[in-house]
Amino acid sequence: MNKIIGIDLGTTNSCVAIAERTGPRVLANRQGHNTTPSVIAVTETGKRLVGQLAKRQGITNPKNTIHGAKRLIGRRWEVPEVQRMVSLVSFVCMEGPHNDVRVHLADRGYAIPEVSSMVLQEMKLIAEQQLGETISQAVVTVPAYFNDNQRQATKDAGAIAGLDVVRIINEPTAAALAYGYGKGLEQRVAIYDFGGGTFDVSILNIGQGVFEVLSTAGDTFLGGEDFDERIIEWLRGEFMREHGIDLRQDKMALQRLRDAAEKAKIDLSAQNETDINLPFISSPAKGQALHLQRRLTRDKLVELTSDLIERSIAICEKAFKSADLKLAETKSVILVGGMTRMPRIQQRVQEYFGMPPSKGVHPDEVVACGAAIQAQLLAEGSQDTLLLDVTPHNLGIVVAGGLFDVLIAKDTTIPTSSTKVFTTVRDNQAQVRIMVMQGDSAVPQQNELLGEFVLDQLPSKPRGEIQIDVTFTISADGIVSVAAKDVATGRAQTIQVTASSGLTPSEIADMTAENQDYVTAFAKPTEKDAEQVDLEGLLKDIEQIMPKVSAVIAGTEFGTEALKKAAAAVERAKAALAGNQRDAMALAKGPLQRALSLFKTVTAKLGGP
Amino acid sequence: MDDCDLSAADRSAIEEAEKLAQGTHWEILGLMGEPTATDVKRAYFAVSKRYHPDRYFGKRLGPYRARLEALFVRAKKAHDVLVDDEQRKQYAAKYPAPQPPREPTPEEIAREKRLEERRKQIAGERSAKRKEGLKTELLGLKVRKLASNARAALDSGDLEAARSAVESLSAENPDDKETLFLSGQLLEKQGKRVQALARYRAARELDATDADVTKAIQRLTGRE
Repeated sequence: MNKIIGIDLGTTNSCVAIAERTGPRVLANRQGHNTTPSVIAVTETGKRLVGQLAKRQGITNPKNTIHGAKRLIGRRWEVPEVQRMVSLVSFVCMEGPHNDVRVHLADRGYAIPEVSSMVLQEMKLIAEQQLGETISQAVVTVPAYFNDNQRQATKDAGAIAGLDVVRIINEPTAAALAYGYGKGLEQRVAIYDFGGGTFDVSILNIGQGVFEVLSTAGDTFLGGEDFDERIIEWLRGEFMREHGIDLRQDKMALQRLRDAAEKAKIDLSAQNETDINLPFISSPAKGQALHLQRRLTRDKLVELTSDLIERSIAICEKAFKSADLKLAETKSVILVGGMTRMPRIQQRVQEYFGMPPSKGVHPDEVVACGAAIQAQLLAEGSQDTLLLDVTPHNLGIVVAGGLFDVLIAKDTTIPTSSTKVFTTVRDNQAQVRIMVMQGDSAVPQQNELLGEFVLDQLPSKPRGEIQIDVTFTISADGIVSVAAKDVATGRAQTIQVTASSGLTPSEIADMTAENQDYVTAFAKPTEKDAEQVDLEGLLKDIEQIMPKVSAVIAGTEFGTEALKKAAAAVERAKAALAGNQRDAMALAKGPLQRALSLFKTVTAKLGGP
Repeated sequence: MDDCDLSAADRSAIEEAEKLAQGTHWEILGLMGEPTATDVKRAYFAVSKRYHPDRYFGKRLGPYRARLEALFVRAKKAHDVLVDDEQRKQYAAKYPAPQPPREPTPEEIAREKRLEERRKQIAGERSAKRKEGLKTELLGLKVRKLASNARAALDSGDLEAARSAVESLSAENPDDKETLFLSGQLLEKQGKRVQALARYRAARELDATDADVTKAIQRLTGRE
């Protein structure tokens, strides 16, 4: 039997795992890390970079580096969240042919599922390398609050990467499975999942090996990146006040701000304050250089982001209320996602739930582990363990300009089905056009259109006399189908509602073929060699020491010159690493070593480290 | 054959469940009496694990996919009603839960115990009788066998074998017409006519109608 892997396709980081007899195992990437940045880039030579390599060269190649693609997947171009994100990122976005979002990289436009497929492809490669066999099937997780279009787009991304996505499951559900699998629990748990891009909360009953989701709520535009954005905005504002220069206008500066903000946020989970040092962040005139130096404290970070944290708590409240559940019946709270490392978030969760969060799950890996477990359960046809998930949004129809009629309410366990009778609104109406929508608003326009169909050849009758039975079915794998039947004539019509990822089947086929060509041509995994390891070590050292010395020597002519040289050497080294160019790596080493020894001398004189 | 990989056993289990699904909420979940909300939940989880289509993931289910989903939806509906106090009350007013057998009173238990003991006793007696009957039957078989051996030996003139058979026969079944008659025959053949006549007469005491015995007495006395 072929192995099925579990993939947590995250906004900022992704993770892949496999279930083995002894339990789920996270598969490490070539650099030895259990998670891989969900960042992709295309170099000028057309080479694709994914993960750490792509992230590292982001500063020098901001226009061709895509991060946070998950926030755009399966979304329409004109929605405000997309427009807001498009205005903030350092890569170029544009409207695609099907009202979807495309990004421009190097030579051409890429659809978002294509971008995500590169990340999935990387996860597939990691698994294949670790397991020593070809992998063609995966269970992929998505935020619980994703709608069907977003889920379909994720499936399409898998297809382009040559992966059959056998099941899409919700991230918090996967986390609950990994938390409770095989423990024989009988209790109610809440999953608080604060990831890089999205926030979800799910409440589940666990008992007799059944994991039953009772309620779920979330916000697909609330995540760690919003925290980063707050820090960026703060730094930008401070710099603006001081120098009158808007760093957002400079793509490279923006990318450096973004990296520094993320790092500062992470640092503040472990320490009370951190220094942000960005030398040469701006150069307003030739020969003139401005540096950015700020100290960020935990308290300041809380001040900048407390409304985001409160939003997450309000969503928890909603999850309990909408399913009429009592907070007091919850026996455990499980924290998932990198953001839950933030002390203030842990504290706030403890306050709200009235108990300390459960320890013992790894916030970055638990979702992939849950996906791997579900993959195994499905593959084995398990009789002991079962996931019962819910549909996260209302599903219904809109008939000819009417209101949104909900047929299957949110938080309904799937599989499920529901029937409602509709009628004609005009005399002798020959056809009825039925739009299938998903969303939580009574106003149709604010919901997501999943598909539409027409029931025609209706007999001539006065309005209101024709009865049409409309039955909605959601299967266990989340596929929605709608059957409409004219009660009098028995004429029936069934359509399978394939949510739209913004891509047509032929486009997906083309992209899959193109990707396959690329894989055969380029993507031979290379072993990390000694040269690369050396250079990475040097880079790390110099980046640590540079801010400290720059504060001291930046004023002097000698110092400015030395810093400039060092900065240039750093960029060259990064570019060489990013492009995986052996010769350039060797060349970049010398200047870096010289700069490092010089700085070490300086710090030694100062009595520093 | 068809587009479905389910085994015959799986199919008939599904059909059985579908029959239950036609009935009340209590029946599909297999509940009776006064189940608590936890009991309802447990029953629902157990049914879900059996009929959720995920159990057959990767198999072709053909028309059974929709049927499994319908079964699951049915169980879920039953659960939703029975787990909610208000809805359950209304439902139970119309379709009361099947009652489990009533707990017996102490008197009933005592009575049942007495009856049980009596049953045992009767059974014991029967069994003793059966044993006795069996013994008799076995004895009859043995006797018949010995008698036929003796007859055969007498007919063939093997007096030694006849003597041994008649001796055994006399030991097993002394007061028997047949034994006495055969014993008489042996004595007659051995030339002990007086003793033989005595045996024949004893046999006639037991059964005066036996033609062979009468004939033997006439032969030895010339009359009677």
